[in-house]
Amino acid sequence: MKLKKLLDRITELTTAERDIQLEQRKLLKTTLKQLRDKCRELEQNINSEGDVGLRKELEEKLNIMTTQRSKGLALLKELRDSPKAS
Amino acid sequence: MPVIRKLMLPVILALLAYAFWLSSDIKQIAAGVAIFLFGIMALEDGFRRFSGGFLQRFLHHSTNRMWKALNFGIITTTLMQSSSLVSVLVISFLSAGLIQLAAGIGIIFGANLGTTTGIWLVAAFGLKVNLSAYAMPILAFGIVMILQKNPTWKGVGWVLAGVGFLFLGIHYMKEGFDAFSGSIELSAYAISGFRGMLLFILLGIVATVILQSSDAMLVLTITALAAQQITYENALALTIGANMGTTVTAILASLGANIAGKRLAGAHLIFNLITGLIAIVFIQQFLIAVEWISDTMGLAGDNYALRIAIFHSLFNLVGILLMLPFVNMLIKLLGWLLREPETAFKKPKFLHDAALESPLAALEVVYKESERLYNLATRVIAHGIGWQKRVMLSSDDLDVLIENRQMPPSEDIDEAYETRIKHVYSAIVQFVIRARERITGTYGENLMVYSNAGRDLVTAIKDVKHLQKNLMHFIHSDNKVMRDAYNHLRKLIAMVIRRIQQAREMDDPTEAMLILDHALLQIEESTMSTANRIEPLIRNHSITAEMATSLMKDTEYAHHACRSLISMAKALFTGRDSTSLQLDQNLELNKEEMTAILQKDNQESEHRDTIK
Repeated sequence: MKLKKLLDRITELTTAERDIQLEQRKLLKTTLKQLRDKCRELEQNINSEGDVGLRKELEEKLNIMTTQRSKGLALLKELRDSPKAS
Repeated sequence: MPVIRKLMLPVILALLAYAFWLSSDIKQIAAGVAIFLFGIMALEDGFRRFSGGFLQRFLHHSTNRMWKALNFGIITTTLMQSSSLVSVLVISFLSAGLIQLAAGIGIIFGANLGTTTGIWLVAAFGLKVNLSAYAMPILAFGIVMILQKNPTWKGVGWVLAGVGFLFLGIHYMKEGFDAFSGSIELSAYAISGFRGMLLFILLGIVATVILQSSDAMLVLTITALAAQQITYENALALTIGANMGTTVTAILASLGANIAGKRLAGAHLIFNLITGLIAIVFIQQFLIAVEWISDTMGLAGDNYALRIAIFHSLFNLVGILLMLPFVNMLIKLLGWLLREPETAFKKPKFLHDAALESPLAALEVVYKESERLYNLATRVIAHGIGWQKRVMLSSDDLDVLIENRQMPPSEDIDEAYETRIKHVYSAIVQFVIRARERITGTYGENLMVYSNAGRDLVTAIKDVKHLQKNLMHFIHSDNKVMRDAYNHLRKLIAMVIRRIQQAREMDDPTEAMLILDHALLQIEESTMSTANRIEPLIRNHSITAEMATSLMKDTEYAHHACRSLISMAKALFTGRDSTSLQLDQNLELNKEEMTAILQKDNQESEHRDTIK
């Protein structure tokens, strides 16, 4: 009986952890999608921007988002490969 | 006042002990009242357990019109059978700014009518049915549910236990008065006429203040009337007294409340005093109306208990109908009577004990207070580095503004921190600690996010304080290099605050985050350029080694202040919750990544220059 209780508690804990991880993945996917859309928008704006200063600012912003997106994709891969996620 | 409050408890206990010694029937009545009050507390506790989400959302959306607020007050008080719980929740929402004073007044008006339904139930069934027969199983079910781990079942358990104790309390009161009527004839002491009515109104007020519950007082009145211990006229007067006395509970509760809570308690007092006065002045007309309603309902001539319930509902209804058109005038009057006191020290404006009753309200007040703290802090920072806040936040070119050298006399940051920041920030920290004793989960984590935002703000102020002395010295210096370097720091801090303002006005959280991340990149760019510039400046004797160490240290302070401000803005102004912010931290660029972006930028611009 005690062993069964212990097993139940372990299952409960691992399920909760998996739920949190799934939630994190979902949030990360949404964020990555937002970043991708923003990158596209910035690319368009850079092409149509004539002012050198503003163009530099937009390019910097694009670089920030691209780096953040790469980091996000790596994190997503890490979460997917993690044994608890399956 | 504190002396009276201190003396009150021993006096009441002594009187009770004397009364118990005199008669065992009084013991039973008092036990009935105690169990009834415990039932109300259990009921309140039960409903409070549900107040985490649904109740707040419901309250928020159901009080935006006066008629909705009125109905809300009637329905919730009817369901919960506790106008005090409804009042406490209303004060918490009012202090959190989730509802307006007008809506709060509407709910209180409605609660006054809703609370009369309990008396209807007691008068109609409570005195005829053996309530203890229902109380026992309800209590048993309730306690079993309280022992469950699931919070919903626990809440249902407390509600059931509350109802069970209410029934049991009524039963004991009834039994006590039945036995009492056999030994002492209280009705012999009844005073008739207007003098008697005033005396019993006063008695009703005092008894309700002691019991802290008009419901308990009214049930006591009805059971005493049913046992013919008091006359019908005396019972009517006690009902009016109970209605007036119940406001004292709200006034006591509002003593620690903010100005909005005090105004609401004031509205409650004015409403109940006016309805009480109307009932006294037009008592004959009310009695005619009660008789007419009783005849229409086909009530027996001796059913005085239900007549009391009709009277109670009727004068509260008349009070509402008469007062409703004057709600706006009442709000103006309360605003004039209860004005916000002006103090030398900035005090918290939104934090209020009543907001601790609800997670949503607690989160909202902490957010509003943190937002206010930011507004106060930007003024301190701006003045500390020789900017006028208005100018710093304008869209004017910062270089031009620096060139014009128009600056207000600098403010002592230590003094400004003591008078404008410290009390507000301490209150936020203390409030969050207290709130987190009750509030867990996402709400609790988000409270922590706001508290940390406050910590970042204070860190930024402290950094600016360290930087202030040298900055104010060197921006007036003859050494152009040092003057420019320190003006660059002023410009950087102003730029960051402008970016925060820009992010704050953004509807799109991704765009807001991008603005702040770009500001972080600009700070990194400044760090790199300062590091590269200082060595050649010493080498060609433009600045001394002492100047260089001051500049390096102060640049560090300025950059740290800017980073703290951005961290605060991400938590406060991007609409992110604790989970999203944690993810954002994982995606935030580190020093190496920012350096790589800046180097790439430099290479691209060099490439463009070569092509030209």
